[in-house]
Amino acid sequence: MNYFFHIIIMINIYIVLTVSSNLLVGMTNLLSLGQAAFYGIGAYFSVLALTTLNLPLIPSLIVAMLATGVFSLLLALTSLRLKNDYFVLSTLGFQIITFSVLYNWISVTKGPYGIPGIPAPKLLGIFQVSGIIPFLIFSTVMSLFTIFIFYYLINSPFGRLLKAMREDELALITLGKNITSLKIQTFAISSSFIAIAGFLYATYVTYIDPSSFNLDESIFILSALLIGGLGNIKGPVVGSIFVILLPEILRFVGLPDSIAANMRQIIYGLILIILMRFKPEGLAGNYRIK
Amino acid sequence: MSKYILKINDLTKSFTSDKDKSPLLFDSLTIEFPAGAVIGLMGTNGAGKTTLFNIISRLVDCDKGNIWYDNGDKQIDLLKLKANVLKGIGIGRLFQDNHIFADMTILDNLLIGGEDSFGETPFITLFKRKKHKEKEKIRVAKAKMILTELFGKDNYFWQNRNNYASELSYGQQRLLGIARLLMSDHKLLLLDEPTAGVHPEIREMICEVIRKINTSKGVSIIIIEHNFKVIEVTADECCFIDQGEIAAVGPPEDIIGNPIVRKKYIGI
Ligand SMILES: Nc1ncnc2c1ncn2[C@@H]1O[C@H](COP(=O)(O)OP(=O)(O)OP(=O)(O)O)[C@@H](O)[C@H]1O
Ligand SMILES: [Mg+2]
Repeated sequence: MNYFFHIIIMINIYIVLTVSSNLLVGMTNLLSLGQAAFYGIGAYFSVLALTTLNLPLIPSLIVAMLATGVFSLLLALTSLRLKNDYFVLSTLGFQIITFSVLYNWISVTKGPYGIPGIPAPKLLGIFQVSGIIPFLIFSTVMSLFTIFIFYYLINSPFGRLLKAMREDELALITLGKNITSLKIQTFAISSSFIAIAGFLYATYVTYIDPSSFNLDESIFILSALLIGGLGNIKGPVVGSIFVILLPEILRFVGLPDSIAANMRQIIYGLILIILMRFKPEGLAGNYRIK
Repeated sequence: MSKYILKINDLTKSFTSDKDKSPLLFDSLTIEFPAGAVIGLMGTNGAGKTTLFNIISRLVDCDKGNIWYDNGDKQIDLLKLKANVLKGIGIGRLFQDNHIFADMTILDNLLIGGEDSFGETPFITLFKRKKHKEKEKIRVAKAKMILTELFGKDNYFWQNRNNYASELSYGQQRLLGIARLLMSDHKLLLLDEPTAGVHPEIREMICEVIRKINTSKGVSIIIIEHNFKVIEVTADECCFIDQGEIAAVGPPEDIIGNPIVRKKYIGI
């Protein structure tokens, strides 16, 4: 049963990651390779807030979200002038720099040794969120919260602007909208919600190290998003469930341990290729990548 | 001198950095557009009409010159502004190539042109839900009103408002673009070939709309047109651009009768 709960918690974390990333990647068509960097920044700031600042759950979460939001502005301000491929490359740069800071700034992040023994966050000064059932509830609440917020945003006048911007920036400018500010807002919201995933991960696993937030992870988040589909809430949710369940299913298929990991990679790759060929908008998405 | 809506001074523009080699598109173009009038802008293909609109709407930079805009209260140097603030000071633009949002619904296309941008920032969307829903209702009501005004009671656009705009024909997209412009009040409209590619019946209707906006609301309109008829019906005054210069200015009858214009257009 715990195994089953564990999977649901992981799915919840990925739902937070992909639903938030969808605002940036799906709605605004800014293909970012730096999503794991935000995830990592969120996780490390969560730990900082919980341990060094000794804050309870909600304040820690807010600290992590704000801090990640601020960092996202760094990337937004430097990269938004860049078009398409150049933008993607600048997010790649951000990802690499963030990883390397997390890895090498040992006095603060403990570098590759990681930070063990992350304490259970205290909710309202009474509950300790630790153990599998409380985490199941906590992560489900957070993923539902994220879904709710982003569903609302996507279907609001703000979401309408994002859709329009994705299609035709020129027309939107002459309609009096400020494209740069729209993109910055998108960056800030998207990444501060990714921090929630960082918080969940850090407190659930109680140990973090930079390898959880490397480029591979960024690509994994993106592929979950692309497999599920962009532009709505359903897509990222389906994608998250899919990428978390797939390896578990493959486990039951009974591949020998020695090749299981490699086979998993190959199967992911194949699925991505097949999907992009036959269903470029993903399993449940609205858009294809432009 | 009567009041102007737009005064273009000494405008120079070329498309390459090497100004010696490439001919200038505009060489010290100077022209004044009177306020409250419909002005027809004619010229052969490639004369630079669309580029002139692009410069006015700040989508393209010019090399030299300035453009004064008088919105009634004060004179504004347009070249000091960013493209996205022009709507705020009353300038609207219809593109030659539609530029409607094809993957959005007909209604959303209209709502995005709304006067009031309340609710278009995430925090307002989330925290002022009631108020922004009210504002949205007002926008929808306005969209309905404009469509009814333009196309009658049970019009195609309103009935199919939740369909994607990509499903509309070219001419219908053109009309949607015009309706989107009307969603907010302007002082100056730049219309780039509003009747290109539309059915004669619809063309007449567009002409009517242009006249109506001008007479009932006093909106100044500059309209790029190749169609003599449209110019005759809509424009109070007309100017003909040729080789980067204003070759002729005057009432539409004179311009259409002008030998240079006739030669360029009809070859006689
Ligand atoms: N971005 C650009 N780069 C280089 N040249 C350009 C650019 N935009 C326009 N031109 C050139 O400037 C000239 C004027 O183009 P413009 O689109 O303004 O013409 P137009 O008068 O609107 O013509 P039409 O009646 O065909 O719409 C053309 O020769 C065109 O090739
Ligand atoms: Mg043109």
